[in-house]
Amino acid sequence: MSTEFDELLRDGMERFTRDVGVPRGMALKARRHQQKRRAKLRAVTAAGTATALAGAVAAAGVTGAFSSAGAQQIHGRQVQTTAYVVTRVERALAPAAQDNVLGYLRREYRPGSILVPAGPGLLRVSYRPGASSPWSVGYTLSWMYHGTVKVSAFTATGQRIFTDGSTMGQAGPASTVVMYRNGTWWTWTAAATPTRAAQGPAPSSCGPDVLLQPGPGNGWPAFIRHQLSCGEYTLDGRQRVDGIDAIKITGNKGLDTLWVSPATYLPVRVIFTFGPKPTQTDFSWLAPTPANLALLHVSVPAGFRQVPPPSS
Amino acid sequence: MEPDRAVADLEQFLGERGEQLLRTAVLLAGSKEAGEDLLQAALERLLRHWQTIEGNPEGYLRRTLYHLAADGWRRQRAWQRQFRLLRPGTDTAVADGTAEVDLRDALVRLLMQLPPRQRSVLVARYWEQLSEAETAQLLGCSVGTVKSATSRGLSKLRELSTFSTEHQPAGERTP
Repeated sequence: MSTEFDELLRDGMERFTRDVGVPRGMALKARRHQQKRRAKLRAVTAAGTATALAGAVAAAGVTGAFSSAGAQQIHGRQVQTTAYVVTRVERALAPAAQDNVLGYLRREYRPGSILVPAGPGLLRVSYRPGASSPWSVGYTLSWMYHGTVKVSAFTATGQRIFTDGSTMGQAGPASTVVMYRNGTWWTWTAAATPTRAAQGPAPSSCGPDVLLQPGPGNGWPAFIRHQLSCGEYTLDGRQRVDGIDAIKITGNKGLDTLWVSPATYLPVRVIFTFGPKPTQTDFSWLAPTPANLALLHVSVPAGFRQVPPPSS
Repeated sequence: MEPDRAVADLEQFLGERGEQLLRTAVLLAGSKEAGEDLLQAALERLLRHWQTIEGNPEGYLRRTLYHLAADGWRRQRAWQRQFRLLRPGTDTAVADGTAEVDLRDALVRLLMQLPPRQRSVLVARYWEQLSEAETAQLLGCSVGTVKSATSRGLSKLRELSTFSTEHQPAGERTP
C-alpha cells in the first residue's frame, strides 16, 4: 500500500469529520445519565430486598413491633426513585397489608384547634385562634387496627379531654365516647351518623377534615394513600425520625412532608397543612398481639354517667 | 473530587480536546450521531472512575472510546446497519467532481464496512497517526495483532475500493 493511499485515507477521514463539533453540556448530560443508571440500579436492588423482607415477615410472622434498627440492617440501601417509594408506601397502607400491623399515632395540634366528636368514629377539627373552648386540643393519641379506631384527645398540658372508640359493624359504624371533663359517656350507632354531606369532605377529597371513621376507604391509611395520589412528591434524602433513618418525601400538594421507614415503607411522620400552619403526626406500627389489641378497648371509668349522644 | 467540580473540569477539558475526540468517535462509530453517542458513553464511564484517574483524562477517554466501539459494534452488529446507511450516495461528504476526492470519500465509506477491530486499528494508525506499538497499547493487544489487522484492513479496503469504483453507476462515474 503506497504512502499516497495512506494520505488519501487520512484526507478522507479529515473530510468526513470536518463539520463535527462538540455539543454543549456533554459532561453534564453524562452526569445525569450516570445518576439515572445508579437510581435504576438502586431501585432494582431495593425491590429485591423488599421482596426478601416480605418473605421473611411472612415466614416468621409478626411477633412484636417492627424494629427500625433491624429493618435498617436488612434494607441498608437508600431507595432513589420517587415513584418506587410512593408505590411502596401505598402498598404498605393498602387494606390487605394492614392486617399485620396495628397503627399507633400521635398528632400535634396547633393552639386554637378545636376537636369535636361528630359521629361514630368521626372527629371534626376546626381552628379558632384566640378562642377559648372546652374542646381545645393539644394532641391526640390514636390506635387503629382493621375497622377499629380509638382516639384519645388531650389538652396541650396533657389533660385527657375525651376518648372515642369506634368500630365498623355490620349495621355500620358504632362508637363509644367518654367525656372526661364532665364524667359522661355515650354510644353512637350508624343510625345517628350524620350524612356524608354534613361531615364535610371525605378523606379522599384532599379536604381539610380528617375522618377517622373506621371502615373501607376511611382512616389514616386511606387518607395518606389518597394524599399521595393527588399530590406531586419528590424524594428528599434521609432524616432521622424517632431513631429511624427515614426516607423523606416532600410534596407540593396534599402532604407537605412524609417520612417513611426504609424497611416497611410505613409512615413514621407526616406533616400537612390544612390551614395557616402545618400539623405533625407521628406513627408507630405494632404487631397485633393480644396486649397491643387491648389498647383499642375503651373503658368507661367508674362513676361516669351515660347520656344520649349529642345531635350533630 | 465533588461531582459538580468533576463536571465543570470535564466541560473545560472537552472545550480544549473534545473536538478531536469526537472526530475519532465519529470515525469509529460511522456517523456524527453515533459518534456523539459513543463519546457520551465514554464520558459516563470516565465520570464513574473520575476519582481514580490521575492527571490528564484524555488517555482514559481515548481508550474507552476504542473499547466501547469494538464491544458495542461486535455485540449489536451495528456496523452492518452503518454499512446500509453509508452506501454510496447517502454519505454526508460532498463530491467535488475530481477522482481523488471521490476516492477519499469512497475510502471512508468503505472503512465503515470493515470489522470493528480492523477499523479501530486503521483509525488509530491513519487518523491518530499512532505507531504500531502505541496502537497495540491503546487497543490492549499485541503489536502482531495490530500488524495483521492493519494489513488485512488495508487489503480489504483496497479490494472494496476497486469493487466500488468498478461498480459505480455510469452517471456517477468520475470522468
